Amino acid sequence: MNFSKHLFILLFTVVLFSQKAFSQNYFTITGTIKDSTDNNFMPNATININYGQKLMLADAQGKFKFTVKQGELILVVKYVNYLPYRLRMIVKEDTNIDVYLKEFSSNLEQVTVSSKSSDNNVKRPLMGVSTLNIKDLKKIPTVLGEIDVLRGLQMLPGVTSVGEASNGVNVRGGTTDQNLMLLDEAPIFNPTHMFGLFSAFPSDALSSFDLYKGNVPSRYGGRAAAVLDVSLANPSLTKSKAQFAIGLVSTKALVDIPLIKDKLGILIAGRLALNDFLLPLVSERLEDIKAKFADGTAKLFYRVNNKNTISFTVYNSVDFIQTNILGSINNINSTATQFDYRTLNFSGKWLKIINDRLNIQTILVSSKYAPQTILPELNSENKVRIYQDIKFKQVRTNINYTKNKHKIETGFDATYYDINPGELKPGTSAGVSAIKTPMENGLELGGFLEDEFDLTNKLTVSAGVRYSYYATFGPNTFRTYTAGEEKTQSTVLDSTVFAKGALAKSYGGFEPRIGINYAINSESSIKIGLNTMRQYLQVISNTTTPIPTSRWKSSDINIKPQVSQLISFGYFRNLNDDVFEISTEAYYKTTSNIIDYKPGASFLLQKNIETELLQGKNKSYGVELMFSKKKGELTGWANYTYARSLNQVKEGSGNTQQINYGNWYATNYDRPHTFNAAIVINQTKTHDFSFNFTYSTGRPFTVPKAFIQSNGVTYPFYTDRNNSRIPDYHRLDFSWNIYNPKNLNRKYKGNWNFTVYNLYGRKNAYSVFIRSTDRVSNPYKLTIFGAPIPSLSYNFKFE
Amino acid sequence: MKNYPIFVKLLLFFIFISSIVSCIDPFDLKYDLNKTVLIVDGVLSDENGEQTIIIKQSTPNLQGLSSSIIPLEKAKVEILVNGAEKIPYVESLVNPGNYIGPANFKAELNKTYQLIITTAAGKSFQSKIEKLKQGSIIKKTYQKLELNGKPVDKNFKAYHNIYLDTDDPAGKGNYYLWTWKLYEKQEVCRSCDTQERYYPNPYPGRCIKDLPNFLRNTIYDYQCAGDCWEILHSLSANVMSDDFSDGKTITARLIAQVPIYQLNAGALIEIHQQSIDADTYKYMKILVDQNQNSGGLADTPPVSLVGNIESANGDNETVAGYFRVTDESINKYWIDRTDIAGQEIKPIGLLGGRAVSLEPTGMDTTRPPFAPCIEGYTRTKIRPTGWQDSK
Repeated sequence: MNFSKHLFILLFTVVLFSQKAFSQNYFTITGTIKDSTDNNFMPNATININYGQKLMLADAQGKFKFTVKQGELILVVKYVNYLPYRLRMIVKEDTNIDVYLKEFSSNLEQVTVSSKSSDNNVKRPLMGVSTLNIKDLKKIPTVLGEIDVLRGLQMLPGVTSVGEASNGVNVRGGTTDQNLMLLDEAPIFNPTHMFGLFSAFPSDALSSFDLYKGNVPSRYGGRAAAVLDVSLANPSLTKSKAQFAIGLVSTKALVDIPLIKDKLGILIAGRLALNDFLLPLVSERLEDIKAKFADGTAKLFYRVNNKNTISFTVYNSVDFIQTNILGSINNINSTATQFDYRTLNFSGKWLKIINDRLNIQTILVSSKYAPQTILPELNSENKVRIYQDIKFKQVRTNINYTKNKHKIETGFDATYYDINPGELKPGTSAGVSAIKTPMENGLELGGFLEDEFDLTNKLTVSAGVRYSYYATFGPNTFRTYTAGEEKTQSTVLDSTVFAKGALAKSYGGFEPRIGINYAINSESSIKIGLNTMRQYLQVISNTTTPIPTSRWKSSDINIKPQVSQLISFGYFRNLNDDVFEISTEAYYKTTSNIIDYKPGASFLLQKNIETELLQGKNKSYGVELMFSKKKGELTGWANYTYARSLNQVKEGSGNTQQINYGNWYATNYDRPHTFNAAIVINQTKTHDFSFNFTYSTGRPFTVPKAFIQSNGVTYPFYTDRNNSRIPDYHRLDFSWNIYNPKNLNRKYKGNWNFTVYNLYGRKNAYSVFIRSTDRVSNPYKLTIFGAPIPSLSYNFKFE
Repeated sequence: MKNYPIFVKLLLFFIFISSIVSCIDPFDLKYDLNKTVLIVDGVLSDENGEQTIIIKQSTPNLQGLSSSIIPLEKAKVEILVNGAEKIPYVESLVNPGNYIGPANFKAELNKTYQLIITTAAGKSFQSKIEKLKQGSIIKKTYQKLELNGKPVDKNFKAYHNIYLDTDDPAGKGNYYLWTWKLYEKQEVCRSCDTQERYYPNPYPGRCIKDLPNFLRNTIYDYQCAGDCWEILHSLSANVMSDDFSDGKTITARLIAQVPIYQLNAGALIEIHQQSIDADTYKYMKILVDQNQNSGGLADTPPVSLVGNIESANGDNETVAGYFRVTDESINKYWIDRTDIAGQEIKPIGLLGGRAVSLEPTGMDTTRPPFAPCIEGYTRTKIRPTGWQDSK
């Protein structure tokens, strides 16, 4: 009875309103959202119309446009770390509203972690998107005072690594090279300094970074697991700024200069770490290590007019390490092993706004990563060098079109790879030959179309598809092998020479990228995501984590591209007026053609690398629970992840074509249970505290199943790979930021940052291994940061 | 602390954190050993001398917490030459599990060799068919004094690096294995524990707890009765491929790091250069990488070792080890320690880092007695060829 009454009222209302609608006037509301301090546009700010009746995001220019019927309009504009803007007005005509958002920083209220705007997680059909705010990153504890994007990411669910000296992160069971890492559109092939201890991203100059681990927008391609898109801050066009930081590891500087007011500005940031003379103080084991690094970036931003902007970014990073803890080159005699690796990236972006609905973005990228191993010879000035490089050139165009309920993005990209896999340069050496491995030339093309639209009031869909194509060209020689047999010298069937520019092999396919959001109510939603990605360029490495000189290999006749397929489900809920956010995501991912290696494989300067490799498949699955509190004196988050990552390698029937007899085995970074918590206590205007806690299951390693003897020395004898685990990892960190109250309203601002990493000094194992000393084999544990590490840094800026 | 400048504060923090950060500690790893492995260590060289095949068996014990490696006795060991002639090896009476080839039997060019083992329990194993490959000779051996290097042997930082040069034959696929023996003049032939003294009779004598020394807390050493040389052996397998040096002179290969055992005496190092094949190279390289080069930041996860010997009946018996037929070049090099003159170096000695402490002479003129130099793996009284007496 009651039900039919309700139904009747509902039907009546619908009919009544639809009747009324015909007689009403509609008006267009346009506007621009800007930062109140520097007038910079604020793309992706959320615009909430009439309490969630309509939700939209500002475009790349911070602009928005929508139509409403005559009458009262309630507009709320939100952006993480900014005070929400609220407006109530009566709409009688087409109206333009310019919104200036004020930053929180002078306010006590703090917003932490998660999606870009506070209710994005409930409204948008994207899943597995994590945004860690740069300000939060600066507040959470660090190692030796170095603010680190990659360490910050590991506090989020689904992001792990093999340990503290890991050269990259593992996202949802993927390898480190399956993440596309972009810094202002240009790829970063080696994301760390000092072999994994510090990240290579210039933290002071960053504005945001987004990690896509579930639904990856279709404009991205080329990697199988995730995308980390890091943007540098745009130079200010109105206000100069200079800031400096002195830490134990590095010295940093950043200047922001408007060259022509409201037109042209430049941002320059640099970091220099030359303090390796301090390393022996840290540990005797680091005594013969020499390590220096520097990175610098500059961004020029030019507002040509209201419809055109151009920006240009350059990034350069240099590392030098001399050490024996990364292994040496056994077949070249030298007195030391030195690593020198450099990144030089350029990117240019031109944004043309045709009208309020349509804009075109054109991007040109050039990236070069060149690692080399330097081997000084005995009694000689000569140094033998093993040089490699990857040259990456890309052109990309995105067209964004917004109409009614549709947000459409389409475009294409073309990337040319020019890879020098290795070149041995003997110099004047009498004992070393000059060797050159053939260059790898490849072309990757992608075209994409994506539409985000509301199907109904409750159902929002993001339907995207990308077509990706890869071709490898001569000059090169490729072998073919007897089908079904192990690829070795003796199973070579034929060897084909491809002339310069001749197509040797191509791959390609569609990559659906689908996200569906169903809003249960204004505070909770469920989502489903489907994501396919292809990867044609990968790291070939048989170490627990790739080293800076690990070889990058493109797909060819014998090495098939990796294809990942991910399906995910999620439940999202905001509580208490968006103060709390809860989310649960579950995913299952398979990746075909993952790369593993044969026992004793050697990749260095190897021309026919396929004889050393095996391809198999990976399955990764997990559940991620996240809880965050985003406002108030105490902010922070806690998350728990159950995740597995397993490989199966079974190319043929023989033992040499299988790993672990063709059974599934845990990957090196498979850590089933992870718990992270971070809290920030904003006590007063003059200081804040924060704590991090992290726990994870120990990673797999291999224990011997017997001991043997050779030449009087005892050696371990292994059978299955990754048949045990190192002890569980846990750690608590503490950070204290002190701001001088006298400085708060001055041009000069200084603050102290005091951090203790590993507060309770747990000697977490980085690895467990067997080593023989004096004929006897014993187990040992290697710890990287095995004691509380306090550090103090001073940051100051002039505005 | 209030009035110190920033840098002093920073320094104080650094001193604070200089407590061990990155470190390697022994780890209590509970093994779960479950494999019984037959271990074969066999070389057939083209050099004159005793040809030995050593066979052992590794069996898990204590519920898999450890393993015992014991010689495999009473096996039937043969080498099949050219697929026709069987050369029988005989088990040594002194060293069980060591099987010795007939006198004058050695590897020759253009012949094939296959090792065949039948255990007392009736299981049989065979190696792949191996051939002798002509290798090259050691061209030059030289030394370089390192006064403050990476610590070797009991953290001793002063040592001689011994290098060699050898001409690699043209054509890829040459692989090398180097081992060495070091001869040092040994003055002490017997050491007795605290409370004990040495009594030479009956031969070879023994250390006995005796009353007058009950409260003594030092070890007593006893001088050798005649010349004696300590023999130290290389503990790691040093292998190399000519991948990057094909046809060139392999220059400055580091062979040994010899600590300054004694100040006023040189030492003789005997270097063995063996020519091995690709499979042996790979086997030895894995063996070394996963046991002697482990503990870095980017180790290669260990893998199963597959040698060239397998069960002849096709069953799943696990065999480790290698039978290799090698061309051998031996070079004896005199390590001249006069280059340490003027340096303040405390020699490490030949007693594991301990200084010699002879039993003092007393009223009893029969004491202290001399101890015999007992011939064996680590000691010899036969003067090695190439030995130079210190002036």
